[in-house]
Amino acid sequence: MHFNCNDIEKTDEVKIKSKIEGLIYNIQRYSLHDGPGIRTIVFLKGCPLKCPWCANPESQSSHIEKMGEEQVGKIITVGDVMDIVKRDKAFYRRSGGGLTISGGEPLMQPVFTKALIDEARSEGINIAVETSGFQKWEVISELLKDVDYVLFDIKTMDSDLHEELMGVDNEVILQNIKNLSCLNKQITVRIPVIPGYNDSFQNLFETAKFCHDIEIRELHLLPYHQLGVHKYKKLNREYMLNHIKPDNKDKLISDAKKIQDECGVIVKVH
Amino acid sequence: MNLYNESELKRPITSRIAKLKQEVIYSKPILCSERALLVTQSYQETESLPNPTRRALALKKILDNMTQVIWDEELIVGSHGSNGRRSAPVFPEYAIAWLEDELDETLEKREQDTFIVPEKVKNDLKDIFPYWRGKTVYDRYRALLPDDVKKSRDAYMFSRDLFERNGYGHTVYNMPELMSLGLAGIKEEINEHLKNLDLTTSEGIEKKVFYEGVIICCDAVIAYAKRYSKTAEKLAENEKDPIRKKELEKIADVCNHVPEYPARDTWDAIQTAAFMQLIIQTETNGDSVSPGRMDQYLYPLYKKDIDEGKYTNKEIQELLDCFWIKLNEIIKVQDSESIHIHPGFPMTPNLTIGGQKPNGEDAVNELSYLMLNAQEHIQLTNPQFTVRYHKNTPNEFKLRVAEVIKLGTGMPAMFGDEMCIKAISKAFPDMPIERVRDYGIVGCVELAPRGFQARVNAGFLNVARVVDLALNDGIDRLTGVQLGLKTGKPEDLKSFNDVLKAVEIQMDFFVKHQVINGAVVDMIQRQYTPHLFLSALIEGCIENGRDMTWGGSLWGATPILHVGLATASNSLAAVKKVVFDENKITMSELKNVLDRNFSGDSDEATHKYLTNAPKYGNDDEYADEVMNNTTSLFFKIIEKYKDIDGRNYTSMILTLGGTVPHGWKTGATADGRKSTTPVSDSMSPSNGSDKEGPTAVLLSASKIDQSHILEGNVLNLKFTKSAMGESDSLQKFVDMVDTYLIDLEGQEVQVNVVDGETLKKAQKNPENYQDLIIRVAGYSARFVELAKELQDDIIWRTEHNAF
Repeated sequence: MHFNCNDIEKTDEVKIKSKIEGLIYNIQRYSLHDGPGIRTIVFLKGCPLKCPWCANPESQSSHIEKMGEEQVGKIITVGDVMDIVKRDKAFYRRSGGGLTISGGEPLMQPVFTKALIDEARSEGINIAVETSGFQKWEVISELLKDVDYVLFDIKTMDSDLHEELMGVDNEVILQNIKNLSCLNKQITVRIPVIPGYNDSFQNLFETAKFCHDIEIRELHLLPYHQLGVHKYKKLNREYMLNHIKPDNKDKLISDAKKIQDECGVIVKVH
Repeated sequence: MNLYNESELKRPITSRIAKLKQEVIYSKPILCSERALLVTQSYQETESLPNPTRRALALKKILDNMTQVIWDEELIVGSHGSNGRRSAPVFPEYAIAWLEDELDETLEKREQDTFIVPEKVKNDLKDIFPYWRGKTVYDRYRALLPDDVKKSRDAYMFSRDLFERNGYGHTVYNMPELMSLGLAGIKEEINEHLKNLDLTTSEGIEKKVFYEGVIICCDAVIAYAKRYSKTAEKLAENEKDPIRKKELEKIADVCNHVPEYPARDTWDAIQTAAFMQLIIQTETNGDSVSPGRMDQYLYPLYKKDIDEGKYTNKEIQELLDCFWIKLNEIIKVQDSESIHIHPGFPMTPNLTIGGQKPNGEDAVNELSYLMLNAQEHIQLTNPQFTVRYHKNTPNEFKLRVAEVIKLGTGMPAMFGDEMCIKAISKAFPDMPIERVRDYGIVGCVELAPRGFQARVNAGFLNVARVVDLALNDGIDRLTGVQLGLKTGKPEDLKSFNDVLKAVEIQMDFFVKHQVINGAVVDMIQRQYTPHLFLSALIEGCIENGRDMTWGGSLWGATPILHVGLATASNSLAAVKKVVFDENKITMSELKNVLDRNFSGDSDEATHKYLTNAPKYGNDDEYADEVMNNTTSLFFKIIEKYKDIDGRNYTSMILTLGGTVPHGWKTGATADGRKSTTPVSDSMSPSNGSDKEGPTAVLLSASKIDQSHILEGNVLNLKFTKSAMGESDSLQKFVDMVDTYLIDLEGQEVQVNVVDGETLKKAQKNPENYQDLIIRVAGYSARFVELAKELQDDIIWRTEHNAF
């Protein structure tokens, strides 16, 4: 076999990349709702936002922790993640699916996320990243330039409310998605719809309008649920939104339809 | 070409069909003595005649005299028993000892498949029992069975209950030929053969007996249909409603014409199939009498009818729906041992749609869609509904199939042409590809290319227990009896290789016993209960002058069914990992822990090691390699043997409800399974052990060399309704199935779409869930008619949620 220098360099680089470690709390195969086709989601642990409704509170801390009996979080190499991700390649090919990097916040572990993206790219696997967009633009642009699909959360268009709930205002986030929309990526904006917080018609409408203005074609509404509440107890944390009752889904669907018709953006309710 | 015209081909249920369906759902199974009395009378009259002639005359006696009912509003006719919509006749010539035991108390009270047994029926049957004692198929089989095989059989290492006490069935009868020739045409052919026999030879005389018997049967069937015509005519005379009067006159006309003559139109053809279902069942006392590729052979007549404006799609739909309902009226009464394996009246008449034409073109047509509607409308246990996929099956068709599956009946089951065609061609290299491509499915999952007739199956082998015997020097863990060969005490098995060697010796031993058991059953069956009428509809039998039970068909084989695949291979994987790789326990410690069913004070840790060992169904190389080795060993051993026709034994991976009774006989196993709990289902992972989702299950299953599985396998996936919810999820479901069947070349996959919650509710309040159909394994049954333990097993089978 004949090697040239570049090949050797490349092989070394791959070796190094596959050894990079990150902190994750789950890998889930056959995921249908986070990007096109059949996907494997890698959930990274650690998030800069502290949304009080978070359905995966174990994703927030950047440390390995105990949730009841169970240990949450493990250090894993890119290579080991890819060994699992590659297994479903046949399913991705058929369905147009691939890898979704989610969290927590993937942008909080830029080196690991970048290495995962590069490895998946070299395997020809479609890549989606799910992010809340709170990160320096330089980091985001470097990371997401090789990604096929971005699922971008906008919690609320109201900057004050954003700061009150998440502890940071939304200016960086909105600026980032504006920048991102110029990179010709397929982007879907997602709103976790929390009754009494951001479920007003006006907020949903404004978000849709914003999407339209920056040429984002799809907006997904994720209805509030309390399936993660028991996890708070196990983590010895208090769940602050016990008083909230889930929205009437039919109303959400009819709002979505109205907004879709008026704003020219596809609005789906999950 | 975009063939699917939704407004024309997606049709709602009519009020007639809704009514007929309700009547079938709410009619309780009832035992009927009419056939038993008639067959006894006939046998008493024919004692000096050859057995084939006696069988033919018995069928004639029954068909000449059995009660004929035309139910209100039905369009397709033919009633099974004399006393109700779901009335089961008795076949005393096959077995009565079990019925004598169960008649008074058990049948009405047993946990599943209960019957109403009227006093008159009890008395009728008691009158005829003395005549049959010692003369039934079962008695003769037991008398001929060698003692050592009897020991294995009675210890339930394998079970062939269905054919030891019942008949064969298990066929795709030749509808295309019957539709084009009619019985009149088939008789003509037989008469030609009769003319050319050399009666100076025993062979010539045997053929004469056979041919004459088939003609007696054909005439009896024709007379039966004509009697139905008269029955309809009489009803028409007294009918006040002019619309119904016309329908009855039409029924009279159809029954006067078919099956004697070729079918003139779609109605004739569907009625022909309905008669065949009923009559073949009545003759053979078998199940899995399958209409086959109905969307294909009906199509030329359908196309003509629609083009000429003779019938509308609405009318054809009603006829198909009527046929669907008819299939649910035919039920059998079986002994309690058999119903543990076959609970819930699985008559499994398999109806196959889609796939390829003999020339390789896509076969989906308008009737394929109408038949999906019929399934949507009826949603009962029967037919056993199958769809074939190949690489050019239209996506819109697959989406429509997914919609119907989503309703929750587990049907249709999906078969992949890529692997099925490969498996058939491997077994029969000389079979023309046109015949291979024209395969239908028999019963649950048996591949039946055109011209092939399997010698039913040789029964279920509990491989999980075979493995356990290998770990225990051939001693049955529950009873302490030396059932298997002495293959080494646990402490003498020094390596995993030693273990595998022991498994091979034990498996060889029991497969051989099973083959002997099969040979004895088959010899008795062909001697005493040949299937003359059915033979007229099996390609090869008339040409060869030989009954199907004597191997008259063009091609054949006999499958052995593998039970407990995941339990067996997970046990071996655990032994390999925990004992030999990691040295956490010794073989003798393992023996002690299993003997006491993990009940010792310090057994919890060992149990944890064993349950945490790699498990099949997670796309785990370690577990899947062991699984592949054990399964290949099974194939290798099975394929050494020939059946009594000199044809090959082959494999089938299917448990039906056998997970429970085979589990009862199996002590604690090395995979961590507790004693007497169910063994694993078919080719599916063990309950709760698949933790990586459906793609991992499919990848694991695809590692088996499925080209050895000529007679099919079942891979059960369970989805919640929400996982198949929206239309884009449905497409992803279609893509998942395509990946398995087309890219990974899997043979079959079937899906239960139901919530565990719903099942629990149904268990609590069965009265509200009478129509809940659940996929058992290879067939679907009404959930509320199953025993509690099997219901629990089904609830426990992993639910695959998509997130």
